[in-house]
Amino acid sequence: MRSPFGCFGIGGDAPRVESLLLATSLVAVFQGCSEDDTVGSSSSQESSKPFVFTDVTSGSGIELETVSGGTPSTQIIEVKGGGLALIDFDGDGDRDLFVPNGATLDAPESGPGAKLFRNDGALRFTDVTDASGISHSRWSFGTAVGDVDADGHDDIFIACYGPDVMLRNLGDGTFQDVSLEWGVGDPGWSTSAAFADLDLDGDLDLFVTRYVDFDVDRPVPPARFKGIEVVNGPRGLPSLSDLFYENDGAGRLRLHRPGDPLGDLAPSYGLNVAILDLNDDGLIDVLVGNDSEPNDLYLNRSNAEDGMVFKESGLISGLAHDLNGYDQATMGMAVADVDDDRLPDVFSSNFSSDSNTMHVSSGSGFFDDRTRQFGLALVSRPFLGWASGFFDFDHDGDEDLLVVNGHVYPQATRATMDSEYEQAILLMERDGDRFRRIEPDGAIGEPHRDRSAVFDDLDGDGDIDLVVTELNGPVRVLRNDLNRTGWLQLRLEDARDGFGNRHGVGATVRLESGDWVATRWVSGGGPFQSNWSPVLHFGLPQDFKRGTLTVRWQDGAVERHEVLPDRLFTVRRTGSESVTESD
Amino acid sequence: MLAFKKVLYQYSILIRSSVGLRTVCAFSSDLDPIMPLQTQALRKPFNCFKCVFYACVIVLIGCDRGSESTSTGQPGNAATELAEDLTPPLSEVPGDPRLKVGKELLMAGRLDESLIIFETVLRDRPELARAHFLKGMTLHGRKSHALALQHYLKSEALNQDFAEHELLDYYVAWSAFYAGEAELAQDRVERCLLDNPERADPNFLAGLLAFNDDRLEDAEVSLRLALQYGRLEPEPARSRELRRAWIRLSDVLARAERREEALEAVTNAIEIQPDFAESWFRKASLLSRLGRESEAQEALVRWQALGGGPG
Repeated sequence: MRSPFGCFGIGGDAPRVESLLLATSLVAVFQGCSEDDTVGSSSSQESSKPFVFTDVTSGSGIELETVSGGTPSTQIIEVKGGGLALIDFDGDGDRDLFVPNGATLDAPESGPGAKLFRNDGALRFTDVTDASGISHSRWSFGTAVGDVDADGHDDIFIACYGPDVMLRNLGDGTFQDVSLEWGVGDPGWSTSAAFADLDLDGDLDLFVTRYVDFDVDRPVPPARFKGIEVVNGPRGLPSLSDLFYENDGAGRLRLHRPGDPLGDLAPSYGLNVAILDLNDDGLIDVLVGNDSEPNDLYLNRSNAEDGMVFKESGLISGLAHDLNGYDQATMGMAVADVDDDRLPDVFSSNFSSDSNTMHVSSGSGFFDDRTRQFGLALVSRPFLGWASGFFDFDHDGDEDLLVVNGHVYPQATRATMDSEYEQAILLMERDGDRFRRIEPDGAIGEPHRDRSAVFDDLDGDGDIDLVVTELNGPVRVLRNDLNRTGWLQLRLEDARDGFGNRHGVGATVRLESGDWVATRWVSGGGPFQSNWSPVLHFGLPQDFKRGTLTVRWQDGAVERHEVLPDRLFTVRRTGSESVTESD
Repeated sequence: MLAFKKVLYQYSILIRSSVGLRTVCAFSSDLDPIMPLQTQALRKPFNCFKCVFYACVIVLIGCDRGSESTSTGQPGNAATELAEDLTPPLSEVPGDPRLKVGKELLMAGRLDESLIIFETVLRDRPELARAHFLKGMTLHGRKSHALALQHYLKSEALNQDFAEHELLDYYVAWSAFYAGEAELAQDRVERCLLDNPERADPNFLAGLLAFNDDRLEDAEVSLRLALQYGRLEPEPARSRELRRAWIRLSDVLARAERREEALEAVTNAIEIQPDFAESWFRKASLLSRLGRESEAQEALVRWQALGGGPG
């Protein structure tokens, strides 16, 4: 095990590595295709109508009805649904799909089972669950992906009702359940999870959010909402503390206990987690989205002298509450620089008759609720939002916002609760200084009981597609039919020997061209009970010819690369060198 | 023509508010339980009638939470007047005595009971506009805004005359606001302000809509109008109007980076109602951002002592 903080100085007074590695002075390998080779690309910026998504599930090979409780839901455990994970388990460069799946109240250990689908390209997938050796049928919720044992292959964590599960990727297309060996089998009800190197020793640690202390054998009597009998909770039910596992670098994830830096976390209804540098001090922080309680922000105050130190700062930062000081029911969380100040702003999706919330960083560690400023308030009131993501779906140089929705109460109707049980996707186009709703149409406009989603260029045509999963319903593959050039993708790869944080979680990436600047954060966590793709996506302004990509790795190392549009770049860090590759 | 119609309508209201002439409107036998109050201001019976209803709706609806879109109470343009001019006259339909009972229950906050009555009436007479309106108000009070809006719009579409008809725009505006229908809310609050520019509450709603549209100057104007007219309200409506207008003005000023003024505004809100938690939260936030940490902590302690918001 490397000693914490042994590799790089961190903290305010400690020296930081500010190595400026100019790509021009390094070996730049451009392998493979240019824009002409990309599937579906076009030489025209205006070749198609934006924001058209087509449901291509049929024929995609993903024919899976997920299960998460009965229908209609009667207990709170039956309303959250399950997540999705993007993982390049076979190392072929594209992202495959893992679905943890759930179970039912009467048999929480014996659901229909998790599924692994191999991406064969062109939005066709093959069910390789059996061949992968994955045999997991416990009621599952969130999932996270990371190379825990730093062997070059991404592993899978599954947040469960009951002991959590860790699946080690053996690198030959198969997985092995190492939950006990690696020490993650803590019981309880876990929801989301995130891998990140929180102690800066080069390997991936694990943060797990947990929800309600719920016993399927002791169902909770219903509550009343707007005069109607509904599923009870979470308020009034006991909550659980989130968990932090420190990777000891020797094949074990050690759970922080009281007395450890992240071992005294207060019980909460945790549903989501985002790990990134939220206050721009060079250290990654942990933001936990809680249901019906204030969100928690664990600011990283670690330094060489005191080691790992986190301070809960949700209230004072402004991230814990909305403008009025109310707790919200945070489900989805997404990060983007919505005000172009190069600082991360945090969006959260919430309950119906409340609005989603856009917390904007003020630059001094404070976040202000600026939901109204961006036109995101009133439009969201009829929705109960879950997975959310900022992506430039139309390749115009700014990030749009997509939120999947669905009510938790089967009894919900517009008449009784101002909100339907099945809801359309809320797609908001960035339009100048505000967001404007895209008229729900086609696959976006269909009402569903959606819960989670993952975003990625799954067909290799440069734009962002999505896979959506709904409560007790099919997994859906939605193809973005944009068919436009004007994009750039970036994959970070820390290939240094023994470094498990291979995808560069904690890094900040900035792409500049003239006056245009776009910033992305490689975050731990995901849209909701799911993970972010390790590949960053940029839509580009029309006049983009070439740009400068600045990567600030988590340890403070900075490098710059000149890049061209319509390519997937890989910035690979190997020892003292950094290599840029373009596919 | 328009002016003549308005005079006629005001006169009809005046007639209905006059005890001596109640037989004139005998078709509407469920006379309004708040009618005695109207006689206090026969010179402007219409506004007084609205005043009481606005006070009621504040109680029923509560304060705002969330929003989207504008208005500064500008006078109507020619197109608006033409549209009004083309509106067919309201038809007069016999009332239903059960509505009086239902409305009394509604005003007493006994929403479940009033709802039963209005639903019963509507089963018998589904085309009775006033029953739809009152049922809408009941649902409004129960925060079923989308359904309330449906009933208001149904009431409007029936195009019948009834005692509260002139309040329809106001109620449609609020329910649309809460149901997330910004454009409709905007349209109706503007119409409402055309008729009644000197009411605090519609100006407040116009301020909220402008704030949600990020039209900060409009929002500030509307909220300052709400403060101006709110001062004329009787208590306890006066305090409530002023407190919430100061709070939202504080939000607008903070958004405009005028934090000292925002702090002053929220301090005014606290002076009016010191036990309102939201004000202390805002004060703490503003003080933090102004670097006044110890004062911010004190404000946070007050906020938490007050329950830290209802959650």
